[in-house]
Amino acid sequence: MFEYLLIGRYIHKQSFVHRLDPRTKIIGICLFILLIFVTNSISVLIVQSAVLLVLFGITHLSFYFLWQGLKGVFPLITFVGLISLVSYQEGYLIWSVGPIEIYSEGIQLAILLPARFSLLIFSTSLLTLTTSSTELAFGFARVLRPLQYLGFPSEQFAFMITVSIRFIPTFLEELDIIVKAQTARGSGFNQGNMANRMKSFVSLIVLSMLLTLRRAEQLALALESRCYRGGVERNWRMTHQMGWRDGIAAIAILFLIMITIIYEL
Amino acid sequence: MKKWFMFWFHSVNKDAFDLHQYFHRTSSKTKEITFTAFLGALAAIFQSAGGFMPGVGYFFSPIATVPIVLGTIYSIHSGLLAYLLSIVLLMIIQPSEIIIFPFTTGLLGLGIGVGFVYLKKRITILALASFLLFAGIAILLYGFRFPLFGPSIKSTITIINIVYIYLFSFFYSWLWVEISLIYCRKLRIMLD
Repeated sequence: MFEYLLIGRYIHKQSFVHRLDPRTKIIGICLFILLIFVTNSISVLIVQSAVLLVLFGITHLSFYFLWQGLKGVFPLITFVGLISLVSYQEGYLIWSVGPIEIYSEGIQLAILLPARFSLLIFSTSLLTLTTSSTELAFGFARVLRPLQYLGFPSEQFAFMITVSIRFIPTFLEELDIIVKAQTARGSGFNQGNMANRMKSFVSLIVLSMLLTLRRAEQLALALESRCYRGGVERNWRMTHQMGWRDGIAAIAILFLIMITIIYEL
Repeated sequence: MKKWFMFWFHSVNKDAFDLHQYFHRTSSKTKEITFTAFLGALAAIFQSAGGFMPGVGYFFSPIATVPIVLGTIYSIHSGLLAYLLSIVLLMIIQPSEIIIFPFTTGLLGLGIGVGFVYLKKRITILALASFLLFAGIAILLYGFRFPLFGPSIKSTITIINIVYIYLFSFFYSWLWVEISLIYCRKLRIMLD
């Protein structure tokens, strides 16, 4: 039931994007996402899409991976586009048939929203396809490090990312077993009346939380018996150094920020 | 009338408070880290269920509220970390949910959890949770212009739309407060 979830999508290659420092990729993608949501101009979105496609092209990865990321939510994106087209009634009237009226702003929004969604998925796919989970944890620990001065436990957070990525497949298996066991006992998660559905969901919630608590206790015991101390700064087996590639990536991001500011002002 | 009044103004956080006490009695720094990590992973799995199990998966997505509620009952710090961790994990496993989770299910979880720990009465817990959910929906609808309710509520700000959104937030939060009360009681009984 849960076997379709794609985890650990990292594909090892020796491309320019793969060799970038994880910090550069994380900050770059976050800024890129921010730019996607700030812009209201279709031409800027086209420039942003072109930059993303060029970046994806130089990763030497198949464009099939982009489609794979989008495939699951494609109906939702299409629905959002259609809803925006018919529900947003600002600008001037372009076309009307019966109760359906299409306005100029509606058309713009029907292009902008699905494009933003797709670019969001493509940009995060670019990050996860070119960065391993260890690199991601290292990147987040370093990017969030300045927040330590405000009391944010960046090292702990990086450790949590590593642990949770490792345990997602285990949880999926356990949830699958619970769902199948409940279904075999006659519980229907998508059938029956509201009360029966609620009962099924409450059983799933209680059992999954109990399993989580027990597993957390077991893992904590295993870690403590190996002298792990939470909240203490750890050192990393592999560290990364920023280089000329990161400089080029920073220039590209600055170029995108400038274009967005020029068009939006 | 008195029964109705008691329903809303009666203290309901006993089981959640007992769970909070249980966590503090048996807790260690390492256990807090592992438990928070697992709750973050569970929230991300439930939230992304709609994407990888089209159809039935959308029934699992609202359950993403539960791990955040439990994390917040453990401690506010754990709840916030589980919330942030789920956002990062969603970025890795299901990026399309990054927009929805932080403003709806996740935020509601934080609201209910904080309510259970610091507030006692059903009405105050509900007021906090529904206000946070309302704020999240308003950001999505008016800030990002994301048609969360389909064509029924448009992205233009009107008093009637705001009233509808708040009523929806109130009823949805109420449903989740009641579900949370049930599973907190069951969980406490199982852990005792």
